[in-house]
Amino acid sequence: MCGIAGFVSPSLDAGATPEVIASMLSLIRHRGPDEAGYYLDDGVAMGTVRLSVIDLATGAQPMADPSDRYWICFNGELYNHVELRRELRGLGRHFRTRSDTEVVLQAWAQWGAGALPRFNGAFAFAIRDAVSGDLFLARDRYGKRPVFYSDRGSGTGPDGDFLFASEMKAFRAFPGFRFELDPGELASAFAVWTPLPDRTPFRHIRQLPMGSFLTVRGGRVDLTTYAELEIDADPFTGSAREAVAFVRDTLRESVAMRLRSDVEVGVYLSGGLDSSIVTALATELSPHAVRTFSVEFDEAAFDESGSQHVVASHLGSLHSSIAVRGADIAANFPSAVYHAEVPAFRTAFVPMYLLSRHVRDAGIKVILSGEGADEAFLGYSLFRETLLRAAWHDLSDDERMAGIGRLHPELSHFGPANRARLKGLFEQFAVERLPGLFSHELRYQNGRFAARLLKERGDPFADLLALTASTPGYAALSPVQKAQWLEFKTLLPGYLLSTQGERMSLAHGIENRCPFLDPAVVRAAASVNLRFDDGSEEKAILKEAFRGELPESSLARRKQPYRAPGAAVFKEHRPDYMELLLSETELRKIDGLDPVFARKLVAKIMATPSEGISTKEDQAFIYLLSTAVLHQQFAGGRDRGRAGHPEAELKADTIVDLRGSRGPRPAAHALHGAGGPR
Amino acid sequence: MGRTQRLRTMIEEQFLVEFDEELTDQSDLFKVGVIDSFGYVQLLGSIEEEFSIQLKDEDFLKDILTSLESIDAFVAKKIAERGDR
Repeated sequence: MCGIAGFVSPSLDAGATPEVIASMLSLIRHRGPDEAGYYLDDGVAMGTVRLSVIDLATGAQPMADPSDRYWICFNGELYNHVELRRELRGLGRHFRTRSDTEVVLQAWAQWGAGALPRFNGAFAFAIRDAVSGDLFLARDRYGKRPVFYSDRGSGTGPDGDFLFASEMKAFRAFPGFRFELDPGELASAFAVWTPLPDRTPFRHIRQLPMGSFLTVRGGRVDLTTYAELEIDADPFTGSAREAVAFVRDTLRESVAMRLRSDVEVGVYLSGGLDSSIVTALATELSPHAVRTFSVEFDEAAFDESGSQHVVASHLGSLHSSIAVRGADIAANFPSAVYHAEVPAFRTAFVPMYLLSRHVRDAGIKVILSGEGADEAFLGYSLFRETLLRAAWHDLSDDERMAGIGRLHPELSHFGPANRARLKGLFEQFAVERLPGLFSHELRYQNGRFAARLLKERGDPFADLLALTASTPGYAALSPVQKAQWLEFKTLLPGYLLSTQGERMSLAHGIENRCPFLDPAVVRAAASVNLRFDDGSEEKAILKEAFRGELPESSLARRKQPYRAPGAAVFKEHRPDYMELLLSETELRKIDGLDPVFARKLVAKIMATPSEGISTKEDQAFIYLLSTAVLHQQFAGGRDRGRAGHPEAELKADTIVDLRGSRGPRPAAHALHGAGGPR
Repeated sequence: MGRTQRLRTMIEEQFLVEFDEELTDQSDLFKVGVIDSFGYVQLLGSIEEEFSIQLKDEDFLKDILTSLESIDAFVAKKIAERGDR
């Protein structure tokens, strides 16, 4: 795995370019501790920090195609590089390395942006066309790897500069760049639970949405979608038995592709169905015992170690785990937020930060995990809730209450004593109020509460409503498919894959791979979902596909959402950064925050026993705390913390310097963004 | 403190809101995003305790408790029923 960064700058002094790019890269050095390299041309620089996984010896970057026209900085993995290399060789292309990076580059040289839909991988990359002067950025179709950009100098910075990087913190090294929280984006993120696909919490910084590429050409910035999210698929036409075999084969192929690596691949085993399936397939496909890694909690409500041990011993994996206590979460929260770069509504990403450190110390660089299964195969209770509310007016009261009873067996307030009461609540959510967002309206009640942390009282769902309204084909999706679309566009890339996933893994140089997020697997799921069952049992077809291979208890067990202790941790351990919320002066430093509501919330959290704190209050509190920490680290609080200090002096292994080397060339243009940051 | 005021205070404290010209006694508390599932169950429990009434399953068949006004009317009715017995 790697990190990339770069810029097109008409204003930066040419002599300063090497130092600026080296500093930017050093701020994301954790993503790729093995090697570093950069490319310099007039008004342009880009570079890579590299974690070597495939072709350790000759995959160094930046890399050029044989004509020296295209230069690439690549972050991620192309899983189908073997097949594409074969195809490109057939077309007469010659390869100098075994690396997947070169396959991406040659595919680009061959097909241009037409190469992108052919890629099966987790990637973000930059390609510089040294002849035309164009710069391209692209991101994979599910948003597994990040790439952020800014095309307006922020604050004191000069206009006309275009910056990009795998993590926003790299921008700090660009002269004049300043971070500033954007209250409008915060309100949207609090309400929806994550930033929208192209947004960030900061002014003037956007991200490439999944499945898109961006072109910087002649002073213009253009964003193009190359892969729409496909939730709909032709229904599977075979029997139920054939469907089960089809799902299993597709997943097996996906895991096999993700085991392609020159280093050992481990598995994150949560104890749930999805990671157990990944472990089973990895075990079947590996010549040696697979190493599995887990988090354990003291608190029984969060701990899944029982299931983890059952699965590990059943499959014969070499299992190891770390025990995470409340004190660990409190102690590591600021570091994890620093890596996440966005406010979070849960603390569950902090244990993942600690787990990746453990995995690195165990000598593993690549892990597989189960993300994407719940979105693709309808694992979340949200989908059952959507089916229930959508059918509400056709059901009897008994059926309604039975349906409510099946939703959240893990939540005590959904127990038998409260079902009739909850029926009254669900009644209120049986008709659509936010056009197109029916599935999420009950959940978004929690979001509305958190959005009250901001002074601005506009509609925090306005931008999401605009996004769904402008998405071709969205209106025609069923309520459950819309729910899937929303999950694939918000919670999955905006929190699970990023904050809890790759940002935490890469904090310690661990690359994560998600077999359930292979286009073929997502398509297979779409073709069988609700074809052979009514959706009342979660992931019924997946369970069927692995019956006999997994312990019976794993198949019978209800999904336990992965959670970690929330506000209670900070009350109990009172870390010094709690001062950011407890001090009126500190609270008032955060632009756009409503200090009155924030103070009320904090007071209630501090005064109420943990069992009396509702989920939405807990979430709003974690949002507030992470925002305050982020503000202090990034937006120029009195102490910039670690963010101001590059991790270590960057020693570049590869430097390509083409500055002033090819006679008169057009100067880099000042940029006029199209659809760029506000 | 009268019944309505007690209910108003309970809702304000539980949901960290303030009734004013924007959030009125008639506001649909679901629609404006005040009430969530946990809070709803908690509020009903607090109402039972505060007014010594028992809410039965059939109470939720017809009464729609969406605003302070409707909750107040419902509680008044339950108290009256209690007095009848």
